[in-house]
Amino acid sequence: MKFTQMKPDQIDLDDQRFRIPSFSSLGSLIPSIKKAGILNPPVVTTRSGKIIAVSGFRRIIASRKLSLPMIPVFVLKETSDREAFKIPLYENLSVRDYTPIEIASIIKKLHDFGEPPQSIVRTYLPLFKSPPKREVMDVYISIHHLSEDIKEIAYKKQWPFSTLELMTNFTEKENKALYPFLKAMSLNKQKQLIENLFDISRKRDISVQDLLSSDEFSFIQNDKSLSSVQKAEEIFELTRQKRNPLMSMWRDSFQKACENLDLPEEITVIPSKYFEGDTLSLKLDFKSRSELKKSIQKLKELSDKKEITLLLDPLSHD
Amino acid sequence: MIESKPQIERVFIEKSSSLYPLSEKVLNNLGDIPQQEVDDEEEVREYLRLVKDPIGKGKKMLLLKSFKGDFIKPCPCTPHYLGCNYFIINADLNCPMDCSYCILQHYLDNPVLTVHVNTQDLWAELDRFLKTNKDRFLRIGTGELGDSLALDHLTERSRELISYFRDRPRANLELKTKTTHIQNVMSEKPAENIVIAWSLNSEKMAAAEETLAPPVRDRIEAARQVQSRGFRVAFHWDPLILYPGWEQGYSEVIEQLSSKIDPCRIAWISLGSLRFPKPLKSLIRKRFPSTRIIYQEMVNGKDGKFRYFKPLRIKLYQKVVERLITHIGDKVPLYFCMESKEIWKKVLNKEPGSKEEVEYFLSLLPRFDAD
Repeated sequence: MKFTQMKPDQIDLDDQRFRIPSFSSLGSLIPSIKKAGILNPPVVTTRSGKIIAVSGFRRIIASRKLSLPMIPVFVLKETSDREAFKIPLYENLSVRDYTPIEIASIIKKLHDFGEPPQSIVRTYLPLFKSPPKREVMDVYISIHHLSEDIKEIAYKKQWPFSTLELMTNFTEKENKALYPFLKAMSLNKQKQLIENLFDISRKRDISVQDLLSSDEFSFIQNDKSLSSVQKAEEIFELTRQKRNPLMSMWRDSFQKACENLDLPEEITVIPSKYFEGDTLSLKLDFKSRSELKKSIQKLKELSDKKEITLLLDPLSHD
Repeated sequence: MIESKPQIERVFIEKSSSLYPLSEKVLNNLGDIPQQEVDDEEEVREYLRLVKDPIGKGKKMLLLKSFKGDFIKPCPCTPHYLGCNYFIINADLNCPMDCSYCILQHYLDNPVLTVHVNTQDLWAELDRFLKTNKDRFLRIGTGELGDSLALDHLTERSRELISYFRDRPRANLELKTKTTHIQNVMSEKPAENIVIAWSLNSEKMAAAEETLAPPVRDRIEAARQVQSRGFRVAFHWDPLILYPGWEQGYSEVIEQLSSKIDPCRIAWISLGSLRFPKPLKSLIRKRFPSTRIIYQEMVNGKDGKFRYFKPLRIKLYQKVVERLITHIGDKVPLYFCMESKEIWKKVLNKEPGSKEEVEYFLSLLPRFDAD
C-alpha cells in the first residue's frame, strides 16, 4: 500500500461497498481529529476510475466536516473486492469487538463478495466469537435483512444474537408495528416484549400487527393521555398478562390475599419465584427489641387467621 | 403394525474401530450404503457444521466408533427436583426419530447417530459396576441418550444386553423405545429383571410432534407382543403435553393401553411434563416452525428449565393419574421424572425424601396378589 496525502473531497463516499455500517455518531471523533489529526490513515482504492474508501469512512466524513484540506491515506492497489474488504474487517477487529448487527453486515458482504460459506463458517465466525456453524451464518444473513429502524435500536441497545434471531421470524409488517414500542423501552423489556408477542401470535395463529390492532392494544395506543413511554409500558404489561394469564391471575390473587390479611408495613410475605416452590418467605423489619416483640405478636395473630391458608396453598385460589 | 427403519444415507467408520466385530455386524446389516473412513469423530462434526440443519442431517448418518469414556453413568436428572437413582448405559447415542421436544437436540454436541462398537469394554465396565453395587437394587437402561431399539436391527445389541443381564437378577435392565423394532427382543428368553419400555403420548401429539415415530397404537401393540412373550413392560408418559383436547387424547390412549396390556406385568409407569432449557426453545422454533407446544404457559423452573406453571402441571398429572388408576388399577408403581416433592405429595400422595427412596419404591416386587 502506498502512503500519500489526499483532499477528503477527492474520495467518493457514495460507493459504500466496503463500509461496515455503524449507527454510532461521529461523537468524539471530530474533536479528536481537530486536536490530534488523523493518526490512523484511512485506506482508499480505485474502482471505475473513482477513488473510493476501503476503511475509515467516519474519519473521512469528520475531516470533511472540519474542512481539512488534506488528509493522510493509504492507497490500496487494485485488488478484488473480497480481499479489499478484509482490510476494514481486520482493522476494526484489532481495536474492538463487533456488535451482532455489524457481524451480520460483514457476513452478508463476505457472502456477496464470493467468500465460500465454509470459509465464513470456519474462519470468520470464530473471529467474531460465534459458533462455527452454517446455521449461524444463515441467521446472521437474515439479521442483515431486518429493517434499518430495528437494526438501529438493536445496535444501540446491544441486543444479543438470540433476540435478533427471534426478530428474523417476524415479517416486515410485524417489525414496523413493533418499532414504536420497542424504541421507548429498556433492553430487558425489549427482549421480553419481543419474546412474549412472538409466543402469543404463534399460539393464537395471528400476526403481531393483528394482535397490536386488537381492541385492548388499540385502546392503549389511542389513549392521548399517555406518553409514548407510558404506552410502551402498558403494552408491555398487557403482553405479559396475555402470555401468562393464569400466572397473572395467581399473582393478583396472592396480592389480594396479602391485602386481606391486613399485614402491617413491616411484615412482607414473599412467594417463591413463579410460585414454583411450596414455601413462602417472610420479611420482617424492626429497629428495636420492642418493635420485634410487637411484630412477633402480630405474626402469632396472623398465623391463627384462617385466610393464611390462601397464601400457603395457592391451589385454593382456584 | 407398520415398521419403519431409519433411513441411513452414509456411514462413517473411525479408522481405529473398523475391525471390531460390531462394526462388521452393523455394516453387514446396513447393506449397500456409502461408507467413509474417518480419522476421528471431529471429521464428522466438521462436516455437519457446514450443513443447514445439522441435527436433521445427523439423523441420517451413522458413526461407528469406540468409546473412550465411561459407558455407565448416573442419570443426570435435573437440579432441585427429585430423581429416581437411575443409571444409564451410553451404548448408542442419538436417535433417528425427530421429536420436536427432544432434549438430545440440545444435549448432545455431535448430532450424528453413533454406535459405540467396543462392546468388550462395555461388558468389562458393567462387570465392575455390578460388582461394586452388588448389594443394592439397580435400574439401568440404554434409552436416555438414544432410543434403545431404534438401531437394534443393525446392532442387535438388545439380544446381548438381555443375555448379559438375565444372569444378574439384582439389576433391572430397561430398554426404552418409541419403535416397534421388537424382533430381536422376541427372539430372546424373557427374564424378570428385563423390562421393555415404551414412551407414550396421545395419538395427536405423536403424529404432530414425534416425526418418524410409529403411531402410539403400534407401540402398544408391540408392548402387548413383548408382554405375551413373557417380558415385563413399562411405560413413560413423558412429556405430557398441554394442548386443546389433551384430556380426551390421553384418556383414549390409557383406555387402549388397559385393553391390551396386563397391568400385573407392568413394572412401572413414569410421568413427566414438557420441559426444556431455554436454548432448546429457539432450536425447536427453528426446526419445527409449525409446533405450538412451546407457547403454553410456562415458567422458568428451579432448575432453569421451562416447565408448565405449577397449577397446570398438577391438573395435568392429576387427570392422567386418575385415568390410569381407573383403567389399570392402583398397584402399578407410578413415579415422576424430574418433579418436586410437592407434586409427588399432591398428585400421588407419596412423600419420598430422596432418590434412594424412589428407587426402593420401584424395586418392591411382587406387587400383585396371585389370584
